[in-house]
Amino acid sequence: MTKEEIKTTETVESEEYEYPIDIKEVHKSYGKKHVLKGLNLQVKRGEVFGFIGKNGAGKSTTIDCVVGLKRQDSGTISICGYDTKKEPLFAKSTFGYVSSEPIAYEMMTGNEYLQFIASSYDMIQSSFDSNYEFLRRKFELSDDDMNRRIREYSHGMKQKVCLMASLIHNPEVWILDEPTVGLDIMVYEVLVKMLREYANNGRTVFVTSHNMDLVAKICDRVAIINDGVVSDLIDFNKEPLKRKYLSKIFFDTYVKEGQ
Amino acid sequence: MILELIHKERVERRAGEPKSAWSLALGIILRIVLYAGVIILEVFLFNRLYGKLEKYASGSSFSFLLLILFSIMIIESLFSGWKAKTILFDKNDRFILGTLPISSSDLIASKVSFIYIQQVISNFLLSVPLLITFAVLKEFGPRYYIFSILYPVVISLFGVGLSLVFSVVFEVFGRIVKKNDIVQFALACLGVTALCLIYQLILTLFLEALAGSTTSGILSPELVGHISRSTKFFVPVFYYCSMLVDNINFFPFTCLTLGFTLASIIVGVITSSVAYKRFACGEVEQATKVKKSKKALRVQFGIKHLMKKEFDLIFKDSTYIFSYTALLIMAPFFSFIVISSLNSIVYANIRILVTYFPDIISGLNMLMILLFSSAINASASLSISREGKSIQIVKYIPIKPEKQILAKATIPTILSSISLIVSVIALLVTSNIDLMTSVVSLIAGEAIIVFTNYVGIIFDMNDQRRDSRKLGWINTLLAFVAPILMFIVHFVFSMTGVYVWFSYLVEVVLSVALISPLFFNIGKQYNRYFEMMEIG
Repeated sequence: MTKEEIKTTETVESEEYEYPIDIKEVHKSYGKKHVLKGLNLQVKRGEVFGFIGKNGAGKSTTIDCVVGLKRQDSGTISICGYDTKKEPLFAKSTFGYVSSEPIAYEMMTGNEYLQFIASSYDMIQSSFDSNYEFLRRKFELSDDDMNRRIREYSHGMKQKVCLMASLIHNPEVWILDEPTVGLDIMVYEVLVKMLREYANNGRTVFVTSHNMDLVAKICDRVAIINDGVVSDLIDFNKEPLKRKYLSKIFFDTYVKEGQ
Repeated sequence: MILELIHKERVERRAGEPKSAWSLALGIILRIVLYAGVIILEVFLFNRLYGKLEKYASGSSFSFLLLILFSIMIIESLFSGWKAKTILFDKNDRFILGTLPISSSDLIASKVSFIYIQQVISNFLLSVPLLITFAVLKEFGPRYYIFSILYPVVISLFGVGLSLVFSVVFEVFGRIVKKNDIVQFALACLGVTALCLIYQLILTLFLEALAGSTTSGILSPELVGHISRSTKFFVPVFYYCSMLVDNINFFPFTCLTLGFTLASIIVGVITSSVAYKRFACGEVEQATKVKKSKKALRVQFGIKHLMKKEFDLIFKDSTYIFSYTALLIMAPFFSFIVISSLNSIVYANIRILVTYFPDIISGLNMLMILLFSSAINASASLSISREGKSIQIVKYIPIKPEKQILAKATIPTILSSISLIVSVIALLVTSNIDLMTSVVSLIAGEAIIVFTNYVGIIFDMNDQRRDSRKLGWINTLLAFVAPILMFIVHFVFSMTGVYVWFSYLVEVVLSVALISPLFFNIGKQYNRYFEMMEIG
């Protein structure tokens, strides 16, 4: 797939899709354990979308299916109009992903890793150069840090490099699974600001977190997943007061369900 | 508390073992067979060499026994030292135990006790049979047998002290070389060379034991004399064993044995305690000096970056440096040593077989070349497992699966092929194998390498549990079966007296048949497996 191909298809498709992330009737089981039971979810362009739920509710499975680490048993997932099963490469080229545990090639230096990721997305050299410099400064990583092997990094530094790698190709959709774990307060603030700015620039952010304050602070909408389906969808733009009571709403959801 | 900690060490070391009763029973049976085989072989070897040495000079067999026992003790201590390094300086262990109200002395005592128990068991299996054989041959009295059985209990104490010192040396050394790939690589090559030389020495000793009735070659009278003069330096083995055969100096020898043992334990415990407190209790590792890279960061196209990543995974990961890369480099040397020794053994001792089946030697040579090449290659053919946790990156980057798999299989194939070609050329140039055997070995070897690399990836993609240990076994088994199949063909044709070129032809056809499925629709197949592969 060449760069031209991606661009052409993006231009054609961009007018066709309504939701950058569109999940319809997704089912997923592990053996006899039915984890996702017909999950439906639409994420709008230009919003920060929060996805919360207790442990084992199906958050990670949903994200894994969206980014292609797992295959749903039935149902469809589209990212920027591309079906993840039918056109996986086009779908993958539209998002950047940060997992809950910072995962990178530890034998590489930070620079080598970013070079690898940029090459995987067929980036144009000039875009890479400008994005690299912007992100390096944003996440406060020095040249020395970037020339050091990732296996020598602290948890926080690894997380910063993974965040950089997820954004280096300037994706349409930014998917983050528990992104704030291990970050120091300075970078935490930078990240929170970046999530908001990213959405304000017309891109889409999909984030899961156990940190209710973070979700309440930055998200436009929040979905609460319970027992494999979305049990509650809150729009903070329509109901701004709910930002204050998100934790209570979250607990009530599970109490209501008798869990 | 100490007993519970010892039990924890035992459970931890056995964590990877099979859990079902059948596989456990099979494992135990295989282990018993293996130990029995080793004991039979060492007793046979010692028995044969004993007769020859006794002809040379009386007492030289005792010196030889001391040399073997001392070598066993040193090798065992080196291995135990390596294990002790893991046991003493294990990061996870330190993380869990460091927060519990357990004193450092209890921790160290439990770990030392665990190492000691392991040493006693292995000494009992390796050293006691030799002592008993010697006693039988010399017709010693019951006192000797009792002390022979006590040998592991005493000598392992000395061995533990030595192992603890070695463990600290390994840990310090490991910390120094950990951050330098070139030093790691050089060390791995040195290690493999040393193992090759030890292997050659054992093979030659075996040959000496089998051939003729006098000492010659490696066991020259000069060397035997030199060994006899050096025995007093084999501390404490010399004093313990002398205590058994020398009634007059029993008391001084006992004191010296106990003295050396005590000294070893004290030095070992002090050294390891200091190191444990320094390394295990909160010392922060120093970061390496960062090289200023002036190279501009360039985006690469095609699969160049994927190939580079695969290359880095093999050459910059210490696991692969020691298990694959170093073996790959040393394979030609290893093949040369083994095949030249094998040819000498076969020519010298089973000449009748060669008379009846003239092509058996070329078949054996080919078997050895293929076995080394495919076994070494098998250790790198699980390219998906090699990724570890970073396999998720492979799954979410937008690159066609065929390209990713091509890059994954190409690097080990090229590296293993280079090693195979060099091995074959070296053997051909030194006249250890003929031209026809070289050509067929190359074709068959290449086919097996390509086959195991591609099949390894299929295994890997189909295994949802990412059980690389189990997969490694299956793949290694495949790597062994294919060469043995080739040898069977060669042997059968040799037995039936059919022209040798015909067996070569069949082997080439078999090789082509082995890789032929890869040419049919393989891209689509891999694509499907890749899409079906689930991570996490």
